[in-house]
Amino acid sequence: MFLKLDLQSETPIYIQLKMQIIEGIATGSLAPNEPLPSVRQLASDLGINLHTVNKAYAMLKQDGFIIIHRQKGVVVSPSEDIKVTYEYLSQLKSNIKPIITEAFCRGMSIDEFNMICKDIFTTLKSSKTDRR
Amino acid sequence: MKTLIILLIYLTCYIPTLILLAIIPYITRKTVCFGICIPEEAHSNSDIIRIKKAYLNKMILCGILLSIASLFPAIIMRSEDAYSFLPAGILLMVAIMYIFYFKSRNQVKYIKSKMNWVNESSQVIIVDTSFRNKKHIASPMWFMLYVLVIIITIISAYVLYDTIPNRIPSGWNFNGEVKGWMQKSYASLLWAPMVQTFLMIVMVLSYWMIGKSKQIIDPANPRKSSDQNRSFRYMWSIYIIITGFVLTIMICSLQLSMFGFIKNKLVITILPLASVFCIVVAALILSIITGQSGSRLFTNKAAPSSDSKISSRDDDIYWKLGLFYYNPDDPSIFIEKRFGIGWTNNWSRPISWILTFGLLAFITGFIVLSNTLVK
Repeated sequence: MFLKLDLQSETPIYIQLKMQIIEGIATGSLAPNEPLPSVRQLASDLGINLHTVNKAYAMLKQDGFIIIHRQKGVVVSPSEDIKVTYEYLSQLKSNIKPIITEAFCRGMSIDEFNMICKDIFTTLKSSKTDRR
Repeated sequence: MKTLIILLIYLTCYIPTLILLAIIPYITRKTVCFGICIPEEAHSNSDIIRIKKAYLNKMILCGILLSIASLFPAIIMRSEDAYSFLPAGILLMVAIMYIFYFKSRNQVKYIKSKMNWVNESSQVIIVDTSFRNKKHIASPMWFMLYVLVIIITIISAYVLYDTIPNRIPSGWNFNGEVKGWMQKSYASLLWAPMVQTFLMIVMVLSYWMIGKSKQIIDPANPRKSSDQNRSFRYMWSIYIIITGFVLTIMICSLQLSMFGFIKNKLVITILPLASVFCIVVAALILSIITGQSGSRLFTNKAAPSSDSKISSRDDDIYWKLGLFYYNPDDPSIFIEKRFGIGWTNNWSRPISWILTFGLLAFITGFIVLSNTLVK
């Protein structure tokens, strides 16, 4: 897949990198077990610090999206390994709370909020079926 | 004979080199002009077209005058020393190229600031995660052919040792006459395999550099750009492997002439010249076909998702004089050149200096060693 980083964005580069790879897995542009470039190679291709890439990879590994083998290098986790876990659920709740709070504060209804969620879900789903 | 050789040298070395130097602005990426980042649309700007044309004309005119001037001594002087002007002519040609380059570069820089081409849109970097999983470089197994030739060279020297005359030539002049002699010994027979091994090391290093170098993908059209970049590397890695192989075989045949198995003067002078000619012309043709970073490949393919709004990042500040890349924040060691075809170093990385000085020391050591062997 093509990773696209915006150097002028306010989002830190390691977050951009992490989100791009998760999006790649979600839409199918990164297949299960697909090899990813090594930390050194990716940092050199992007022209950014090694630690930035390391940080993104470490977070992805922690969350179960990628596996870092000593010999085989970095690969995307098999699809059965990427699932909803108990920790993920609690993390999701705490992450989404401030977003919903703000929407609620601005007077958004549940349906309006659900609509947006639905839109994003369908876009992801359709780009996944497009690949197949 | 002498005029023929001079004419041959002129055709094989001067003309292709001159063409290669003169067409550089036309084979670089569309987003770079004389080492300055410009928008792709700017290529149809009349001033840019004029600067490129002026460079081409000046380069060809000066190159032709210079090559005639440096060939002149070789034609009128009888002494062999006259030939030493020939490589100097090539060096002068490169020096003149840089003078014209700096002049044109300043003009482009001026136009860029006047037209306000400074990149204000977002600065985006694109990387293909599967770049090195797809075909991007020829197999390193081809280097086994080199090893094979080197082994044949060594074995042939030792098998034929008794039939080799006691006095063997250590060099020839341009007319194919023997310049010096040396005594036959097992050590002096090592000369050819040593040069071959040295050559192989240099070629393997270049090959490694092609594979390692940073991928630069045009955000306006990532897929096409990635394909271009990979094909470019693949084609040039093959060029590197073939060039080294031709030279390795040439050295093997040189050894056979040293042993007196090849006596034909014409073969001794023509063969190296023909090899050099093929290598230089192949480089010229390949440069025109691929362009820097493959920018001239697949140009007929329509850009499906061309988004001219996103442009690549303007990294002029990291390119000192437009020639030397110095970016301490970039961990990459090798990067594609901005003027010309090929790759260069990131000079902010200590490994670049270690490699450069290491190679220089290696070459010096090699010359010293081969001189002691020949004596």
